[in-house]
Amino acid sequence: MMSEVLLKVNNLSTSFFTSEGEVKAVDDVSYYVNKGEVVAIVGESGCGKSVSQLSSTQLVQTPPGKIMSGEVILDGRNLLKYGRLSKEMRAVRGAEISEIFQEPMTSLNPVFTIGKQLSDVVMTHSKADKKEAWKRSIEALRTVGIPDPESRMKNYPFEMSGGMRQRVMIATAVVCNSKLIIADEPTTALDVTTQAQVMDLLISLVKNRGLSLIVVTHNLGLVTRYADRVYVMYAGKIIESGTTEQIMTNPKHPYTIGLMNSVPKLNTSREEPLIPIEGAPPLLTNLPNKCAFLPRCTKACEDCNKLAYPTLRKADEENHFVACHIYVGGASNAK
Amino acid sequence: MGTFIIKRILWSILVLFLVSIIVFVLMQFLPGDPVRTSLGTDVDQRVVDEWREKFHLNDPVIKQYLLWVKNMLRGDFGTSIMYRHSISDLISIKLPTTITLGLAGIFISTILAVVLGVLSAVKRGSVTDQIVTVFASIGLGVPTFWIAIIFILVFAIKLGWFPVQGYVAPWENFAQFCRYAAMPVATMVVTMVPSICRQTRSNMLEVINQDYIRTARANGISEGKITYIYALKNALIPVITIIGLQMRIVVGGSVVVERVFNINGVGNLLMNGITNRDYFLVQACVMIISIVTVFTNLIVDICYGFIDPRIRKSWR
Amino acid sequence: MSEIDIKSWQTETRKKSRKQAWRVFFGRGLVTKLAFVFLIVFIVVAVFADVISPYNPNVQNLRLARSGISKEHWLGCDSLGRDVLSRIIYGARVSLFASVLAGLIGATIGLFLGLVAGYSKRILNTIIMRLTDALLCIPGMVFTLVMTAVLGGGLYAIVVSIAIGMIPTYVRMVVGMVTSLRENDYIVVSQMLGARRTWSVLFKHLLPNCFPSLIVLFTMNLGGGIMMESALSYLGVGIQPPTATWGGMVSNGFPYLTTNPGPSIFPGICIILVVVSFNIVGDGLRDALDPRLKGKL
Repeated sequence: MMSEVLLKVNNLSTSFFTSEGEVKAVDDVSYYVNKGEVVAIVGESGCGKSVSQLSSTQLVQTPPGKIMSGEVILDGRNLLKYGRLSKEMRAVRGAEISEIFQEPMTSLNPVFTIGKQLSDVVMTHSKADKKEAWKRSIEALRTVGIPDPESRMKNYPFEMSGGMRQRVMIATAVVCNSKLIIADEPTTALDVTTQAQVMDLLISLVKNRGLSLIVVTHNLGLVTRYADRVYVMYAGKIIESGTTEQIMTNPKHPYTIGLMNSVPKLNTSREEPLIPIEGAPPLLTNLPNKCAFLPRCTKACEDCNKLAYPTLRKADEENHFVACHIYVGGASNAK
Repeated sequence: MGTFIIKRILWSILVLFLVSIIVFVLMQFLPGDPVRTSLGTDVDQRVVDEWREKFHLNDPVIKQYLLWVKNMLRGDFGTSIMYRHSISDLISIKLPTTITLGLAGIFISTILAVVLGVLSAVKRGSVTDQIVTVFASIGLGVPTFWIAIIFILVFAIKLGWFPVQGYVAPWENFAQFCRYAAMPVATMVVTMVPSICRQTRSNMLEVINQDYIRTARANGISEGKITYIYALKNALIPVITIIGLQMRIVVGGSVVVERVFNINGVGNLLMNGITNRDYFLVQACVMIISIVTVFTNLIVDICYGFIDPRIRKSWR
Repeated sequence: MSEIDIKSWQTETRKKSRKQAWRVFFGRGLVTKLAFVFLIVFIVVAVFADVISPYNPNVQNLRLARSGISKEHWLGCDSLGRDVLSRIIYGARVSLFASVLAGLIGATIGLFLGLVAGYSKRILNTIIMRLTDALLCIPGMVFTLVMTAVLGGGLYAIVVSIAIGMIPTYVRMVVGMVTSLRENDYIVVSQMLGARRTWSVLFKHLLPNCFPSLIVLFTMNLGGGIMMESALSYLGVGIQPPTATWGGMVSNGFPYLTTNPGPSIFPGICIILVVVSFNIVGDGLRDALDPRLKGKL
């Protein structure tokens, strides 16, 4: 089945310039999303997954951040060529690519009604007047499953629950018919039942409206259940990528393997200890040009210490890539 | 909303009663005999006694206090020993002056300070920001009386743009009012702008980094709209408290400003009362000033409700 | 961990945090260092006025009246021929003395009342808080003026009046801290473990936590105290002539503004420099001792 590429990111690098030096939050990252696809980006806190997504629409706080290089191709246009605050970039944000964030409690302006906040988005991206914008916003609220949307429009954010606010956030993504929704940890701040509802809503939008979805998360359960493809990030780089099934059943990178092992399974007995990955992620300043996972890797070989940073290479299967010296030339050299 | 307003009004009245007690008690300890001071030293003892009777100065203290409060509630603030005139009359002539100047000062200061504060927050780290911050820091240490004198030196004496002292009410002659009020208002502005500006700047900086601003940006809303509508409304809420506080400072500072510029307002009246040990006058002036302050705070609190919907809902 | 280990660990931590505080304070940049140095100079000049001052501030020399800047008189002379620089130096002593004394009195009483209000039952708490609110409704200047007159004028009247004016800010701050600290678990635990009396809890736990904010507030109030003292001296209610005060000098120089503005201008500049320095140092102290307060004091 031929899928069309919606968004293609090439060699994206974003750094933050702090008093301690340059922090390479995103280092030479490339990925793509097809139409109607659900892509997950997985990794620990601080691995650069959020920053990479913010970078794709130039939402990174500049200063101290700066997009150093790369391309973000949407429908044939390189978004990074637009000025950060330019009309063209703003036209993309909210109307073609929408991003929703982790904290629904603080992501909505507390002193304006949600009706106003939604209408503003509509009016920014179209020639609709206030009445028309209001109507469209009500429709968007209905789409995301908020009951009695007409009266909800006049509510303030503090009058709604977390799950409801997250739905409103999704409504802002939908109200202008965005092609791509980037959801950055959309369920982390919600309770389990609401998590399922929000994810189901997002997936239904993908199916019914042909949207694409990028989910940034550290919740592997979410990934397994909903994602088509997965990118695993560590220390600012993508270290493995493939379809969900490949990554879940046949992880190659020692880090990914560690991740899979650390998730407790239903059939694990209570006495068995959890298996964490020893050590902590590295500081992103002054990283040496070696494999960043080396200090924590249990499968490291002698070459790993001598060689420069490994590039993404094809592993055994089609569409499955891994950046690890153990897998040279497709064959496994693991000890 | 109604309950809240009523509660606040009751609280204000309670506080004013406490203030009246404090003021009255203080006045009892004011050294010097008011009657002698105004009548002069070689006056017959009988006249002195007559006056003391007339002003109820021989009655028990509590009776004097209750009488005073009762009269105040009827609008009668007593008689000034020094001016031999009804204090209410004196105040009704002079209060408009003080309030007009005060309001002008607050109005201009607020606009200037908010604009500067927002600008320096939005352009954080730039030259504009640095200049504003430096001036605000220095401004906090500028004494009112001194800057008034500097203004007089530069603008009245050296440049001759404004008259050195005096005052004309705006409803008598607006153009003249502007000429006479320019320097007193400028003095108040220099005194008030630094603190409002710093507060606005720090609130804006805090608000700009909030998640909901990031959301607005992620939805493509323009920077201008984000700064001046989305961010500002949130940032202004604490600033309103500061503006309320400024009333207290302005009225207090009016004592100095009116003295330097020789303006006939309540501040000057108070000063004269103190110098001449006219404690009825002093009592009344302090009460009036406190009433104005309390009233302003009440208005500010109610304004809060209109701006912050969270508070409005919690009033119900 | 044995008893001895805990104690030495505590001293180590305290030493480390003190060093950290110094580092933050002086790491803030040139301006903070300058302000700090300037304040030291100010204090030295004020304390050693007798030694540093070139002339006696009260000696009149009518021949030199209203003269401007000259080699003998660096800042000129005032209308009575008194050396302006010397008067400024002695005025510094008055300002420093008044604001420090007022600050200490205000802080002590404010701290005491705040602790009492914060830690006691409803009635006492309400009385103190309502009185504080009432006091805050009377503009500071007005209250201090009246209070000074009531106390008969003079240096000590000013000091006491300014001190009383400072009390509400201390009370509010201390009450706030005590209320939030009271809820802290370690207070409840120490009470459960049978801390012998209320006062021991107060002194061992609550007080030390109040100190950083208190020190910052005290420093800021020193600047405010000087502003207030100079305003009162300008209005002529405080220290009587011929004692040199900064406010008094500005007032005395007013009639001669056209010919000899120096005696009015220079004291004001000193006031600005000193008050701003106190504010900058106060900011630095706040960042060094309690960064949580940033922007709130």
